[in-house]
Amino acid sequence: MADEIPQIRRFSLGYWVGTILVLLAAAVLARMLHPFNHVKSHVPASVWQLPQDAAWSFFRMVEAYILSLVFAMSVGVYAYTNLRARRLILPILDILQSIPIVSFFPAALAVAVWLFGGGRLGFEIAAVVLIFTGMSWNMTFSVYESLIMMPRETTECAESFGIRGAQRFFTITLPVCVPGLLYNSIVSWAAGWFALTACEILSVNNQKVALPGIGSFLQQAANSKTHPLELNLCGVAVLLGIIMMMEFFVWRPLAVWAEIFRYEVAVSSITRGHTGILGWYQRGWLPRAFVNYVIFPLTNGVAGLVRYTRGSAKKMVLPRMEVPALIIRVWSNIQRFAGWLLIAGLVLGGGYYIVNIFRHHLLPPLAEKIPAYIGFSFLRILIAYVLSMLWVVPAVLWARTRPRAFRRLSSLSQTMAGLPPIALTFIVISIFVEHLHMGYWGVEAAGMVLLMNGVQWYVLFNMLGGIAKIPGDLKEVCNAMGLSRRQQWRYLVIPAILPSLFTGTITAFGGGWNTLIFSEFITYSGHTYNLPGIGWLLNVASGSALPPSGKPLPAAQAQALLFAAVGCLIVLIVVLNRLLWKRLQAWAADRFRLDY
Amino acid sequence: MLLKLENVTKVYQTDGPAATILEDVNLRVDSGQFICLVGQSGCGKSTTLRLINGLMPPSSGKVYFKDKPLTGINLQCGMVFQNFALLPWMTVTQNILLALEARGIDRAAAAKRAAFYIDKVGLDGFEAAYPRELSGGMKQRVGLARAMAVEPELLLMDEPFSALDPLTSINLREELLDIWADPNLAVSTVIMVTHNIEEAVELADRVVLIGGRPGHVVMDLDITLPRPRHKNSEAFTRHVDSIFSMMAEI
Repeated sequence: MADEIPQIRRFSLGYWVGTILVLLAAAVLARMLHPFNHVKSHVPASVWQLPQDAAWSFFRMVEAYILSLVFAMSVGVYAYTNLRARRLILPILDILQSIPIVSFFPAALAVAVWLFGGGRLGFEIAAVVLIFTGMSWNMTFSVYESLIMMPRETTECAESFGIRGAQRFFTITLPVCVPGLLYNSIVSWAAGWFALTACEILSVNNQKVALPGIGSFLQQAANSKTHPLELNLCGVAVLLGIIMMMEFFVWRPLAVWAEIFRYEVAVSSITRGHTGILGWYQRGWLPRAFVNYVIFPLTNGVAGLVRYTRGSAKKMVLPRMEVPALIIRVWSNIQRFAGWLLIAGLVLGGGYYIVNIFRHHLLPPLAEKIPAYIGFSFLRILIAYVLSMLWVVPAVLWARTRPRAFRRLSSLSQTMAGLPPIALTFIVISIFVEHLHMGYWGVEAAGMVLLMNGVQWYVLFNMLGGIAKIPGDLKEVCNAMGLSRRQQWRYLVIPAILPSLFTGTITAFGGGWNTLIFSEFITYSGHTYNLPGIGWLLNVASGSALPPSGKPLPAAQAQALLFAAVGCLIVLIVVLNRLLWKRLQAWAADRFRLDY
Repeated sequence: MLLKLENVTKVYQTDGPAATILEDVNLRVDSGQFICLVGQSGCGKSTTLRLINGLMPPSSGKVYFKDKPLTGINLQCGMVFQNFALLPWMTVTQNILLALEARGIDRAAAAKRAAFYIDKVGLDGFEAAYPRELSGGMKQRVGLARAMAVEPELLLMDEPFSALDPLTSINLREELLDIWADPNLAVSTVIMVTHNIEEAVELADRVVLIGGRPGHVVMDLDITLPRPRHKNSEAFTRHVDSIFSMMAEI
């Protein structure tokens, strides 16, 4: 047995788990080999630094992604198994998911700097945590939803045959989550790249810190006075290259592989055309050697350990997963107590912190502008949304019957969604401001293009998903009845994609709020362009932009302004979601379900 | 006595008002019997099966297995599910091995046993196939092999043939009887849930009719016809008719 070379079977979850672990080890090792140098406020953009910058950013993304995976699996599984916790976790996740990523900046920065000091390590950890906040919530939801959707017979079967603990996790729980996790990982990586600039250039107490990476490279390139265009183009090319390589070497083969984890039997065309890379991973000599000498010893070791700790189950009656009532009562009381303690601590601590901030400045400067600026910003997002719909809907309807175009569109949406706004700045500014001389409206137009980039891909992505879900028999019956193209749109396609449309709308507005911080304060080639809006205000509060007075706000006032602005924003978004979007989504999902 | 249900009542408490599914169910099962639980859908026959397996506790009353009250999941049972409950990401062999490894059976012995039962249900050649590559009948053979591979004292089957086409289910029923009669195989006692009365009369030594709301044992009929049973024989039809008329009365 020992000298027989094990073939990688078509199914091997350990392969991917092992690969992720090895990647993590590589990322950590690379960081340990590279001594942490001091933080700098400014890293001059240099093309020769670009490969290294790209590597740094990639490692940050990998670390944040692994952190997200662990978070998603543990919290998702916890929410699934614990009914009481679920009632708390789901609404919190829902809020976390819908508030802009910048809202986490002050907290993440403060905690990281407090824990790890103001050195490079502290800021690196803060950056990874910030990327994590942009990646993890949707993944957690997907884990929870995959588990909820699991057929009841599967859980009963696991119970009946006594499949438990680590065995159950690796053979049932984790595989069930794979398809949803994969889809959401693609979205999360796009969100991570998108937020990279903001995560790599941090400011604490009006002090700017730039971590080496492709995000800060792009920012510095845009501010370069000598070669902004050339540097920007190089940065964008490298970033797009990474995103496309991820698509080609990771997501596509994974998508083909993940088909095995689906419950639906009818998988029409399992994108068989793209199995080339996957085939090489499974049969090529290099991946095989990697698996045989690195991954298998690793996973076998873990599996052996699991078996060893469990011992052999000689018992003939297994206690039910339900624990005796007394234990449940005591344990749930402890949990409830701890939960309330945690909430009380957060509320009191946060309250004290906030009161402390506002003690001297009940109304920080510029705070009176918050409502109006939120209004302006909301209007901009709305316009960006409408403009996006104007091209997305026809494009999707057109591509519906053209599989090639359909695939192109969907990989376009995945690639472009990851492009940070800063990467487009140089184009829009040079077009609208420097060449067309449109003045203020030029800046508005430039900001609008940036904003659309943060909105339209989500709509497109979700609507393509909705189209793909239309059952084949409904399409056939419409063709058989001889419905015209227009009639098919009206009676089949549009009702069928409405639920996805609303989901897309919610994510698009979320994306819009996230983009504002880049689209309302644009710096390019030494010039700054401002638009009145909450995005600009957040830039002022975080010290990136100067207030109209021309002098940076004192730290305490800036902090108070940040809290006020973020607080108002969160309230508005949560109210909007609860009262409008979620209801519309629930209505559409119920009225236009595709099962009956 | 292998199994005894004593005044078993099951109440489901979901968000709405509590629903009593079963009330005062009493049942005794001796080793070696083939029992069919029949009844209309929603009468609680599947719930009864889950109570016997210990997947859920009765709200009141007790389940005794070999004269000991059952306090948890009974690993001496093997369950066959209506929709097969196979894991789509595991091959036929892996699906069966999973159940064996959960019991702490060491790998070599488990592999040997899995191969033996795969052969018994006539699936040799499909060891490395995935469930989606199999027909419905073959999937249920895997489910049967998995349940038998744990060598249970009591085989539980939850409408095992109702998701299959008629011809397949006829074949599989015959094979089930062969397996049950095979002295080399450990399975001797079977409790099967079905809503198909003819199927019950064809297979069972005893047909237990559950009915009413809340469900309880309405009829307990011994069937002593010699096997193989012929559906057109007068005795066969008489049994079917008596169960049908009892069902209509509830």
